[in-house]
Amino acid sequence: MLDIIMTLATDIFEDDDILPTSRLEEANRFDSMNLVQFIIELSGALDMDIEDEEVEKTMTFAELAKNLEAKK
Amino acid sequence: MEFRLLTEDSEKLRFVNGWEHAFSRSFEMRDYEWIFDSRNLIYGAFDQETLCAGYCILQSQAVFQGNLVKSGLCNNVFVTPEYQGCHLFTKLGRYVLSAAGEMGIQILIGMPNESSLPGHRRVGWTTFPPNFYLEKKIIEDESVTQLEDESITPITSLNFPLWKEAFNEFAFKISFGRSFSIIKEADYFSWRYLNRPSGDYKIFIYQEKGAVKGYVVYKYYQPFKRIHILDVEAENETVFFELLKTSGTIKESVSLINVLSSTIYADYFSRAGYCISAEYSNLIAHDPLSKAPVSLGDTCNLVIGDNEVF
Repeated sequence: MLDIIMTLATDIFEDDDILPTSRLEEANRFDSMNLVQFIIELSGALDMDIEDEEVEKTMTFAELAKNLEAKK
Repeated sequence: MEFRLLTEDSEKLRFVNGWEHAFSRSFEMRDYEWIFDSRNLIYGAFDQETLCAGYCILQSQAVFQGNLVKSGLCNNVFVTPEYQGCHLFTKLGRYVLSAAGEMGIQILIGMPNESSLPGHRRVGWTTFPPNFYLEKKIIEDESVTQLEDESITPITSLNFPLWKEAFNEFAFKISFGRSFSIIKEADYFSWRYLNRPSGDYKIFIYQEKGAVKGYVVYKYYQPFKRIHILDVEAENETVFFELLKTSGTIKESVSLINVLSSTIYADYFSRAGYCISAEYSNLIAHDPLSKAPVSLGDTCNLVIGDNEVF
């Protein structure tokens, strides 16, 4: 799951330097619109409903993967 | 976080400050009274006293699926930089769409920028394929024509009141039975095209024996030497082509004329030599009551002037 998240995040936030330990808000092109697109595409890629509140900007990508893994 | 409709002048000024901060540009203060007309519902998200997001719905009347309904245009949506990523776009969006439904608004449209499309889709808007422009290139030395047809009258805020009644009759009649069309009755038309401080539009009506048979609204955009046909309505093909000739009275140098292809007169424009442009506008719609996907139907009329930014 973390691989999928990192691939999408790299693409949507146009940031090749983000790491699993990076917080979402630290991504290069992080803003409201890109975050929405990230959630939509993540929902599609993981085939699961993801609420806005499950993706907080202060989370790391690894934490997000762990939370979504637990939900699955 | 509190979401609410802004009613006080002090709150509207905070909206302006937030807008300027979000878009990194100055708000045209001469448009302040115009855009904050009572028909535009302005919503804000507040963190204590700080306005951190804005969302507006410009109320109008429309024909939708053949019925006269309350409608609205989504405009001026923003989140300030400090509050990016707090899901305010979707939270405020859901709040406003719900409020619109409670007010009896049956159809909302919007012409948003590319980056905001996923956000609008997330809160339930239907997104449509790109709404391309139709355009016609103009040869530089084409001569300026004079108005010869006595049926055509230039319209200003001074003489428009004389046409108010006839205009209202025309506006409702011409839209009747369409699948979607915003009704520009006299008051709305006057606010939209005649009262806008930074507008400077050129408007002509076609009349016969005091009855309005059509109109056209142009905006000349000097940096690109373009004429935008913001709005056009015509009772028949003859009236349409007579009105179209009025673009030749614009004295400035013109390289191109364009119009949105969602005009109900797309076939007439095609016959007048207009071709599909590579440029387009995005189009979204939402039914706040049913929340079901929206179809604007086969007899939809949407023009550049139905958006408030031009």
